[in-house]
Amino acid sequence: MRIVCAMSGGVDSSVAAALLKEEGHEVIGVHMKLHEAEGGGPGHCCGLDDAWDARRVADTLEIPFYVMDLRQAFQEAVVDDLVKSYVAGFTPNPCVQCNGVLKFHVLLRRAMALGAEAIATGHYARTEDGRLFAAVDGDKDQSYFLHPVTAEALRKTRFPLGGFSKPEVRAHARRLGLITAEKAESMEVCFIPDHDHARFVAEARPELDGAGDIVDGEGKVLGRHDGYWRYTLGQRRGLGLAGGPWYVLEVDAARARVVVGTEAGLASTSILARGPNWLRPRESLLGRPLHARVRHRGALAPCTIVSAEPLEIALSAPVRAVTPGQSVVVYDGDEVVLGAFIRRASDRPAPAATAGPAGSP
Amino acid sequence: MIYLDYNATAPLFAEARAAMEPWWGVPANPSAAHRLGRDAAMAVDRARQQVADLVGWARDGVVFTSGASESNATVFSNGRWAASAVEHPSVRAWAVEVVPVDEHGVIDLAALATLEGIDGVSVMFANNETGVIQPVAEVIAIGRRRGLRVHVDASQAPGRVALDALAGADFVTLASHKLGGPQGVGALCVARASAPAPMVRGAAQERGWRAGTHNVAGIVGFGAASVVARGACLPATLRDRLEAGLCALGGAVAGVGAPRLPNTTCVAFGKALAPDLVAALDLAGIAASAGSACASGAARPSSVLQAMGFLGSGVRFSLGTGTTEAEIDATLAAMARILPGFVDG
Repeated sequence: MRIVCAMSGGVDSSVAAALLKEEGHEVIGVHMKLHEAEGGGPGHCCGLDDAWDARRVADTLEIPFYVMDLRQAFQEAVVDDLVKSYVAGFTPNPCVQCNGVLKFHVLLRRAMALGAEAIATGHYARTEDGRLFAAVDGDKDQSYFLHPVTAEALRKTRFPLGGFSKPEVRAHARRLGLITAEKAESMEVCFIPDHDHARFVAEARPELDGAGDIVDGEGKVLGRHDGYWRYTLGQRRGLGLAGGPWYVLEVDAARARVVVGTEAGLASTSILARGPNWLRPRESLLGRPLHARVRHRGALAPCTIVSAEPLEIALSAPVRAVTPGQSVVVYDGDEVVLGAFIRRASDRPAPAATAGPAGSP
Repeated sequence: MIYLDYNATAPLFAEARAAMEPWWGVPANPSAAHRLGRDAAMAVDRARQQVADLVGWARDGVVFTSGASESNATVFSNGRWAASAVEHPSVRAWAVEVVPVDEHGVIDLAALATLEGIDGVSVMFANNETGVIQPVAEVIAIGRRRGLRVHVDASQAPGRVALDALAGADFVTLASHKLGGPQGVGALCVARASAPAPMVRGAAQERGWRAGTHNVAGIVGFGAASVVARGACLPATLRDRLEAGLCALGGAVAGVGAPRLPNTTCVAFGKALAPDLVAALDLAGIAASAGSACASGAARPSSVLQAMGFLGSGVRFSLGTGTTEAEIDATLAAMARILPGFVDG
C-alpha cells in the first residue's frame, strides 16, 4: 500500500516510516515546513536542520521524500489562533491545533492527491477502523492531542508506534542505523523558542495593553497585572500579591481582570465544551460512566456526558483548574470516544462574553 | 526517469564529457610555467574562444567564473543596478531598483526609460521559470541612449534560440551547465569599455578579473558544450505538443502572450499546488519543477509569477535536445492520471 508518512526529522517519525517500509509498504516521506526556524535546535521541531534530518533518514530508507510548505496554513490555523485565544482570555493548546486540525487535514488531502491510500505519523496512539485508542505506553500517550481527528481521517491513518515504548522506538532506530536515533525530544511549543507566550502575544498585538486589576471574588482590587494573557487558571506564581497563597480563578478578558482566590475555588464538577468530535455514536455514550482528561498527562477523572448539545460533561468528583481553551478528552477505557474544546467549567464564568477560541473547529 | 527539467540543469553533452576526460588525469594549473601548465593554459584559451564564438563576443572579453551567480555578483558589485522583477535571485539580490513586468512577464520599457539614480540595468535573455524572452535589443538601445550599462543574464538561452540580440550589451552572463556543459563553471562576457573591478581578488588569473586557480576540466567541457550549442535553435514542436495536451487537461500557461523559449512551459492547474504536482510526477518517474528550490527543498511561492500577476502555482516543464515525443506523450498520460486527485485543490 502506498502510505505518506509525515517525517518531522525526529526519532519517532523516522522509526514510523522505517517500520512501515519493513512491513513492505511503499512509503513516501513528507516533511511539513511549518514556520521559519527561529533559534531552532534540539528541542524544537520543524527547523531547517530537522528537514535535513528527515531527508537523510528518507535517503537511508531509500524512500521518496518531499518538503511541503505549510507556513501560511500554520500561521493561520495555529499561530494566529494561539494569539486570538490568549487575547480572548483562553489558554490554547497549539499542539492540538497543529496535530489535530492542520496536519491531518492537509496531509490527508495531499496524500490522496499523491495516490496514497493512507497517511502515517509518529504519534504514540493507536487507531483501528476509525477509532482512536491511547498508546500502550501510557507515559508517551499522545491521544489527547489527536482528539479533533475525525473518524473518517482515522480510517486512513496509521500510527506505527502505538504499541511501543520510547526505549523500544530508540532501539529500532539504532537497529536501523537511523541518524535520529539519539535525537532529543521536542517538548515545547515549536514556534515560541523561549517558551514565553506572553511576550509572543504582546509582540503579535502591540496595540493591545492588556494591563488591569487583580481582584478577589468580591471584586476587591488586590493589585495590578501587566497583561491578562500572562495568566492561566490555577496559576500561582507571578501574581506579586501579599498574603495568600493566591491562585488565578478566572481570566476576564473583557475587563482585563484577573480574578484570584484560594485553591478550593479551582475545583469544578462540570464542563461546558464546544467543537465536539464524536468518535463513537453519541447515543451510546450519554449517561454512561466514562473518564475525562482536561490537560495533557492529566489524571483520568470519572465523568458522564450529561448533554450533547450543548456539550456538558459532569465530573463525579471535583477536578482542579478546568481551563478554558484546553481540551477535554473523554475515554472509555483506553479508547478516545469524544474530544472537545473547553469553554468553561459550568459553575464558573466564561472568559469572553460571546465566543470560544476562534480557530477551533 | 523522463527528464523535463533542463532549465534546472541540462544533461552533460557526450562531447563535453569526452573533452574533459583527459584533464582529470593530469596536474594542470594554467598559471604554471612548465609544459603541463602551458598545455592547460592553451586548453583554457581554446575554450575561451569557443565560448566567445557561442555569443559572438571578443575572445579576450570572456572571463571564466564558478558559474552564473558569481558572474552576476561580479557585475553588480560595481555600481547601482536596476533589474527586472522576474530576474534570477542571484540578480535580484543586488538590484537597488526593480523594473516591473507586464502580465506576460515582459519588462516595462517605459518604466525603464524614466528610471533615475542607477548606473546600469540588468535584464535576462529568457526567464528560467516561464521561458519568456525579454526585448534585450530594446533594453540595450535604451541603455545606450541614457548612458546606462546593460547586463544580460543569458543563462537559459544558448542552444535554444538565436543570440543576435546580445550585440551591444556591456556584460553577458553564461552558465555552462544549462547548455550541456559541466556544473561549477560559467562565464562573464565583458565589453571592451566596461571592465568591472574583480569580486574574487587575489592572483592575476583571468587577466586580473577573477582570481583563483582555473577549473581546467570544467572550462574545457564548457568550451566543448559551446561548440555543440553554437547556432543551435531548438524546435518548439515537442513543447507545443506538451503544452496543447496540458491545456486540454485544464492547464493555464504563464507568459503565453509573449515570445518564449521553445523548450519551456510553465502551467498552472486550478488550485493544485505545484510542489504537490511535482511530487506526484516524481512518483510517476517524471522530473519537472515548481518555482525555485530553497535550502530545505521546499518550493516557495514563485516571485516571477507574482510579478506577472499570474494566479496559480506553476509547474515548469523544460525540454531539451534529448527529449522525445514518446516522453511527452507519457508525461501527458501521467498528468491525466494524476490531476483528478487534485480537483479539490
